[in-house]
Amino acid sequence: MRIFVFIRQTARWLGCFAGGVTVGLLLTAAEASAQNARISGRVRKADSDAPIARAIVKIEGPTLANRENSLISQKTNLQGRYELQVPLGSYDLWVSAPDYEEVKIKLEVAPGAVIERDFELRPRQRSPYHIETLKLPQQVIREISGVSFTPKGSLVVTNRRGEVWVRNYPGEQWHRFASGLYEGFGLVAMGESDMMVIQRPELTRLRDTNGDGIADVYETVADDWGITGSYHEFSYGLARDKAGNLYSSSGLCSFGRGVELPWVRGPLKTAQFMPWGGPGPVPDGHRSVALYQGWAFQISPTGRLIPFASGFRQPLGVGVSPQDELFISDCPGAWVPTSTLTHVEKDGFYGHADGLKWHPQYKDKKMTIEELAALRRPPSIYLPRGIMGSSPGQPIWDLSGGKFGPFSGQVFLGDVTDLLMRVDLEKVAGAYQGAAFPFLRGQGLRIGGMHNAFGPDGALYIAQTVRGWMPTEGNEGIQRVAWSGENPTEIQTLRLTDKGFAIRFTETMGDSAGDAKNYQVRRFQYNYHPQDGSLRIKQVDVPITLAKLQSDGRALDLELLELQPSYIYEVVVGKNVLSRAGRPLLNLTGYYTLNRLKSGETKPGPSRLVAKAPEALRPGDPTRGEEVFRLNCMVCHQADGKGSAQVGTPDYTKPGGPLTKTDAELLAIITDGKLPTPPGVLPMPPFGNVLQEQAIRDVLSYLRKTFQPSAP
Amino acid sequence: MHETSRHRTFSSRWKTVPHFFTSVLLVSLAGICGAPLAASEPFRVCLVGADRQSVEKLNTLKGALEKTFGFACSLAPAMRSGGGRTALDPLRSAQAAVFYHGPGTLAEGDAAVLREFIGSGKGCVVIGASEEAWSALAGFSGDILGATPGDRFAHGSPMTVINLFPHPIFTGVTKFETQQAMTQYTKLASDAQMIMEGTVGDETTPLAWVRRRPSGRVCHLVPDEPGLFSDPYYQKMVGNALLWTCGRPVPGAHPFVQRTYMPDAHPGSFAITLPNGPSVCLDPVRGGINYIWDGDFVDLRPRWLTKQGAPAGIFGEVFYREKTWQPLRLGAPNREPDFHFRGYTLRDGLPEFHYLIDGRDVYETIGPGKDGAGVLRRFRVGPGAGPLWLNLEPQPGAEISLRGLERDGDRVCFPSSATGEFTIEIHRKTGGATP
Repeated sequence: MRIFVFIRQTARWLGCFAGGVTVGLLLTAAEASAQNARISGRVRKADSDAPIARAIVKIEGPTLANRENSLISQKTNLQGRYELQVPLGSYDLWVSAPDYEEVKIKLEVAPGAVIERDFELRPRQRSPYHIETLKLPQQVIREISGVSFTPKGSLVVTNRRGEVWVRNYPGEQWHRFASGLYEGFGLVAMGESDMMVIQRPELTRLRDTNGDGIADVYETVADDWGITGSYHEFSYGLARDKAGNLYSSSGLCSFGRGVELPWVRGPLKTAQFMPWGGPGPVPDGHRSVALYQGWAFQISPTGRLIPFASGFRQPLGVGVSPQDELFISDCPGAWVPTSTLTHVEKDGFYGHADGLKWHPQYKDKKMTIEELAALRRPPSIYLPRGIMGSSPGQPIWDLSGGKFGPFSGQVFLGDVTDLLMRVDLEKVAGAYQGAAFPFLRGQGLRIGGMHNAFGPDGALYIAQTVRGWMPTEGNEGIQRVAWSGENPTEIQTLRLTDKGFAIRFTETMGDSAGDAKNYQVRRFQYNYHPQDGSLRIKQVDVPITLAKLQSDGRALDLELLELQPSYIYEVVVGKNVLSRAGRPLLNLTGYYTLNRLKSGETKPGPSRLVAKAPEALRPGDPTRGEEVFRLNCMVCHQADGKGSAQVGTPDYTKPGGPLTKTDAELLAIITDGKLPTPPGVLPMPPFGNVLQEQAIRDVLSYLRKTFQPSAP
Repeated sequence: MHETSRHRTFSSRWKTVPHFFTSVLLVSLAGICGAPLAASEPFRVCLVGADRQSVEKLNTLKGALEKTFGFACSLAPAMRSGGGRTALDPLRSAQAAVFYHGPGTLAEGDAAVLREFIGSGKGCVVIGASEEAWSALAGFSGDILGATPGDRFAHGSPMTVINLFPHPIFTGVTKFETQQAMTQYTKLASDAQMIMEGTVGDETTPLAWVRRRPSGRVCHLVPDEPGLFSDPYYQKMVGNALLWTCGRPVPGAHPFVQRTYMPDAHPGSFAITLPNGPSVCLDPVRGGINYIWDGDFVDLRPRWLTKQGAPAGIFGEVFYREKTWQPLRLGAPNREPDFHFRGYTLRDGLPEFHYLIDGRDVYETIGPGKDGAGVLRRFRVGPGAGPLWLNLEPQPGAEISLRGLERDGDRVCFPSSATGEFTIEIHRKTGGATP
C-alpha cells in the first residue's frame, strides 16, 4: 500500500471562545516579545458587511515548529476580529468557517510588523450529505479496518488489533465479539453470531455457539496462500456472493525489508518474474514472494480456495456487484500506472507481472512486456492519481433504494485520502467501463476510508484506518454519511454514445448547460510498464462539436470531434454551468475509461488530434510546488518538513541536512528515487513517472523556500 | 517393538504420570505470599495512603475489596482521633498492599516497616505513584515503579482510547472508561510490561504496567481519580492486581490467545498465556509448540504501534523448544503428513486447536498443569487409520510427563485407530538449561 496522499492538515483548535471574547491567543510572554509581529483583522461575509464569528484563523510556518503542527489557530470573536502574534518568517494563513469557502494567503512577516488584514468569505454550496463520526467505546482501538451489517441490522467492525466489535441493533450498545485475530482486514457478518473475517493468515469463521455474545469457535475456512512475515503483506477482502462464495485477495510483499525468510508459509520465490532491466534499483519493491501474492481468491462455501485471477499489486478493495460479479480496486506502482477499479473474471490477468510466477501456465515462461500487455485485461475504471486519490478502498453498490440519493446502483469507494468516490459503470460491447467522479472530499470526511457498508438506514458507513502510514491525530474510526433528502447538483451519469458522451444531471439545468463552450474534454493514456506509476501520456484536448441539452433540462449530448478507444476521457464542466435553481455542480469533473467503443473496437485508429508540444521548463515555482508537496510528499516528509524517524525521512530543516545538496542532486533523487541509507527505512520512491519535470522543479523550489535552514 | 506400558519414563526427561487429574483451574498456586489460604483465612490487604484525605478516599475501595473479594483489609496509616499518624503496623501482617500515590512522609520506624514490606516479595499495587509520596524509599522510581512520573499527558485531555492488553488483572473487566486527565510516566524499565495504554491523537501513554522483580511483583495503575474507587470494574482491576502480584490465581482468569508474528515462528502463530504462566508459542504451520517461556504475555506493541511492526516481544525465558517439522504423523513416524490447521474453539476458557493429520482429526487443548503451573497439552484423537506418532525432542530445560502414549525409541505413539486421548505435561525444570 504505497501511499502518496494529500493529508488535510487537521488543526487542533488551540484557541477557545468565551462570552464572545477571544481568549485563545496562546502565545507565551516570551513569544509575545517586542520583536513579534502582530497580525489582526476582521472576517466578514463577502455579500454583506456582516462579521463572521467563530471563523477559524490559522497561521502555519516553519518558525512555529515548536508548536503542535507548527501552527497557531484561533477563532474570531463576535465582531469577526482576530489577532495573532508571530515571529518573523514566511507563513500560510487560512481563514475558514462552516458553510464558507476557505481563503488562504501567504504572508512574509518582518520583525515587529503590524499587519491589518481583513477577509471576505464566500458562501460554500452545501452538500446534502452529512458526515457524522460514530462514538465508539473507549476500549475500541480506532484503526477500524472492516465494517459490515448483520441481516438484522447490527453494525460489526474489525480492527487492526484483531478484535471484532458489534453494535447491537437496535440500540447503541457495543460489545466485543471476538479478539486475538492477526490483523483482521475485512468481514462479512452473516448473522448476529456468525461472521467471516479475513485476517492476515487465513479466512476465519467466527461463531458464538453458546449465546453469550462472544465467539467461541474460530474456524479456519481457508489458508492456502503464502505469507512471509513482511510488514507489507496484507490479505484483503471480504465480499460474498449470493451463492455463498467469498472473495478476498492477497497483496504483494514489500520485498527487501522485514521479510523473515526462514518462516515463510508455503514456497518462496524471491526472483522477479520479469527481472528489472532498467538502470538503478528496482523502482517498486513490491513482489510476489510467497504463494499467490498478487492474486484474487474465490473461497467456496465448503472452504475450497480457488486462485481466481492474477496480476494485482495491492488489491485493497474487494466487492461483489448486485449481479454477483467480482470487482477489485488496486493501488498504483509498477505495472499499475494509477489506481484502478476492475471487473475481475476467472483466470484473468490484470497487470502486475510478478504474480504470474504462481500461474500454472506462465510460471516458467519468459515473457516480454508486449506479451504481458496482450495478456492483460484493462481496468474497467482508471482513477487518475491526485484528484481521484491514491489508494482506493472497497467498492460498494448503492442498493439503498434511493435512501442515499439519486445514485441507486452506482458504486462508492473510499480512499486513503479524505475522498469518497462515485463510479457509474456501464457494459459496453460486453465489458464494463464507465465514469468515476469525486463525490465528497474533506467536509469532515476523514482519511483512511478503506472499507464501507450501507446500513439499514440507507447511510454509508466508512471504516477508516491508515494503519500507521501517517499521523492522523486519532482521526480514525468509523463515519456515517447520510443524505439529507435535498437533491445534490451533480452529473448523475456519464455514458458513452457513438459520437461522444451522454450526460445526465441530477436536476434540471439552466441554459448554460447547453453551451459547448462550458465543457472541456481531454483524453490521455498511461504507460503500462514496470516503473513506479505513470505520467499521463498522449494527452490531448478533444474538441466538442455539439452540446445539446434535451428539453427536460437534464440530459445532455456531447459530441466530440473524435472518439478513440483505449483512452481515459476527462470531462470538465464549467463553474458557470448552473442548474435552473441557480446552483453549480458540486463536482465538476468526471473520468470516463473508454476501453472499447460501442462497436466493440478496442484499438485506436488514426487521429486528427495532435498533442501540444511540451512547454519549455520554467524556473521552479514554490507556490505550485507547495501543492505538489501536499499531494505527493507530505505523507512521508511531514507538513513541517522535519520528516519521520518511523518512515525514515530526513529533516529538511536541519543544518547539514538534505537541502545542502545541489539542485541537480536533489532533482535526480526526486526523479529516480533513492535506496535507503541506512537500510531498514523506506526507500525514496522515484517520482519521474508520476510528476512532470516542471512539477519536480516546482516542488524543489518549495522545499528550498520553506525548509532550507539558514546558513550558519 | 513398541512398549505397551502406559506409565513408562521416556528417557531421563520424559516421564509418564500415574494419575490423570481432572481439574486444573481450581488449584491454588503456592506462591511467595505464603501457602494457599484455606477458606477461613482471608487474604490480608493493607491499603496505604499518603495522608488522611487519601486514606479516607481509600475507604470505598476497602469496602469493595472486602465485599467482592472477601479480603481482610486494613487502612494505614490508621487515624488517631486527633488526626495524627500511627506506625504502618497494619502493613506488617498484610500479604499485599495498595499504595495510593505512596506512603507519604514517614518516621524512621515506619520507613523501616515499608522497606521490610517492599523487600519481602509481598504483593504491591501502586495507584498513581508520585515521587514525593515515596520520598521515604530511596530509589523507588527505578527499583520498584520502573518509570518516572512526569507532566499531564496530552495537556490533560481525556483518553480517546483506553486499551487493556491481555492480562489476568483484567479478568472480568469488560469495560473501563474514565475522563480523567492522566499523568505521563516515561522511561519505563525494560522489564516493565505495559498492560493498559491510553491514546490521545497519535500519542500513547502507559496507564498500567506490571513487573516481576526478584523481590516481588508490582502492578502500577495510573488512573487514580478517587471516583474510580466506586467503579466496579476498577475495583475488580485492583483486586485482581493484588492477587496477581502475590502469585495467586485470579478467579475466572483464563488463557489469552492472540495470533501475531512472533520470533522463531511462522507469521500467524499463536501466543497463548496461561493465567499463572507460562506462555506458549503455537505454530499452526510447523504444527506444534515452537517454544514455551516463563513469564507474561507477548509484548504486542511492536506489532501494533508502528507501520512496519517488528515481531512481538517475549517477556521471560524460554525453557522448552521444538523444531521438528509437523511432528504429529499418522501411520509412519518418518513420513511427513498432510497437515492442516483447522482453527480452534474456546471451551471453558481453554483453546482447543483442531488439526487434520492425513485426514484424521486431532484436537489439542492447551491449559495449565495440574498444580496451576506448567503446560498441559491434552489431545483428543478421532478415529483414523493407523497409529498417531509424535516426534519429541530432548528438552534440557523442562520436565515432561506423558500419559496415554506408547514409547518407541525417540518417539511416542497413540496406537489406537479408535477415538482416544493422551496428555503431555510440561514444567520448567529447576536449574534446567535454556534451549
